[in-house]
Amino acid sequence: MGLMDSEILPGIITVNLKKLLAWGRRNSLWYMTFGIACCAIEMMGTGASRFDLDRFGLIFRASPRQSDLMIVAGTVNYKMAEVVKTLYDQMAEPRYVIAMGTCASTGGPYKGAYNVVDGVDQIIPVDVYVPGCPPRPEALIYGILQLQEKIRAQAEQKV
Amino acid sequence: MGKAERASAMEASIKEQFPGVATEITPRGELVARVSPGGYLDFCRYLRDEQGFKFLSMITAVDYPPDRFELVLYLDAYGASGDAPAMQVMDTRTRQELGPRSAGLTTSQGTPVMVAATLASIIVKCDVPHDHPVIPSVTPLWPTANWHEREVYDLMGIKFEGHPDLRRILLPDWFPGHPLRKDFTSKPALREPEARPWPVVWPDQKDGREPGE
Repeated sequence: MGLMDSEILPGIITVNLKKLLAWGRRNSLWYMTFGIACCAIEMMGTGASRFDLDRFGLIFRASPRQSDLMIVAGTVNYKMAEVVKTLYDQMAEPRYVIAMGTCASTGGPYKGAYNVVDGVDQIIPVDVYVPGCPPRPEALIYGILQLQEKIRAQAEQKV
Repeated sequence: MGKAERASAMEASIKEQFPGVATEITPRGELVARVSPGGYLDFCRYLRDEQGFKFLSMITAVDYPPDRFELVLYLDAYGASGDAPAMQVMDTRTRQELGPRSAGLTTSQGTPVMVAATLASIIVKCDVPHDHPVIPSVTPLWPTANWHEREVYDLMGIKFEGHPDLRRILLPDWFPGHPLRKDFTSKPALREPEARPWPVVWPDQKDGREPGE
């Protein structure tokens, strides 16, 4: 964790507030119940008992207001792009985005099609791209661990 | 009566009633009728009321640049069984007129089961000019045409006169152009916030937040 490194007296911890906040944030990334296409099936599988995202402090929330993380799981078309953008705007900061699968990352097999957004990063900032079509749950979990690492590193970067 | 014989019988009666309508029978035994935009609605009404085509299977369109679209309608007539007379229309009376093959069929609750069979099908084609893509709507004849025509309007840009609710059905309302036209090339760009067709709420920062947060 890194929090216990600075112990100077028994029962007392001194810690950088930024690091403490990042520690809390990365270990309780509540993510939004929001699946667009087939990747959402894998996302549900990742959240369910076999792979169990609860282990990492991640739980599904049904409202963007309560969510820290949006997993864009699927092809974003133009009609949905507006919804994705609105949901992202409704999330409280700090907020994080994982683009799950090739469709959300680049448009995937539909890249260039008249009604498909070529990557969700055209409309919202993306923290982690998880490749795959669809990615296996292990890949998504790895992406989430990378995001946790990113949150930790961001807190340590700027003092 | 086989499919091909039924098609040629229907072809004869159509030729009699509508001499201006060109007909042909495809190798698969389907009857194709080509009508002009002017006679389109009357011909469709004739097919529904006189020939028993109560079921509109689908409406689509093909773009033949530079000058015309081809509107395509698939119509079916359904009946009780293979032995029922051609053009018999499926309705409540049909239950009493079930053919011998379907007479004994019941569900586990004892309700009689009606076996519907396609008695006849026809393909109606109508050329719509590029420079004035307007055609009467068949929604008053077949209510299911409502969404089919909205789809054709959405993707091809053919306008249906008399349609009760001619809006886009699949694409967002702001979508520029009609993407299944052969000359459609432009795809809306979203990367620049100013280009987005919906209100921009995104802050000015490059990625929308401070890096340390």
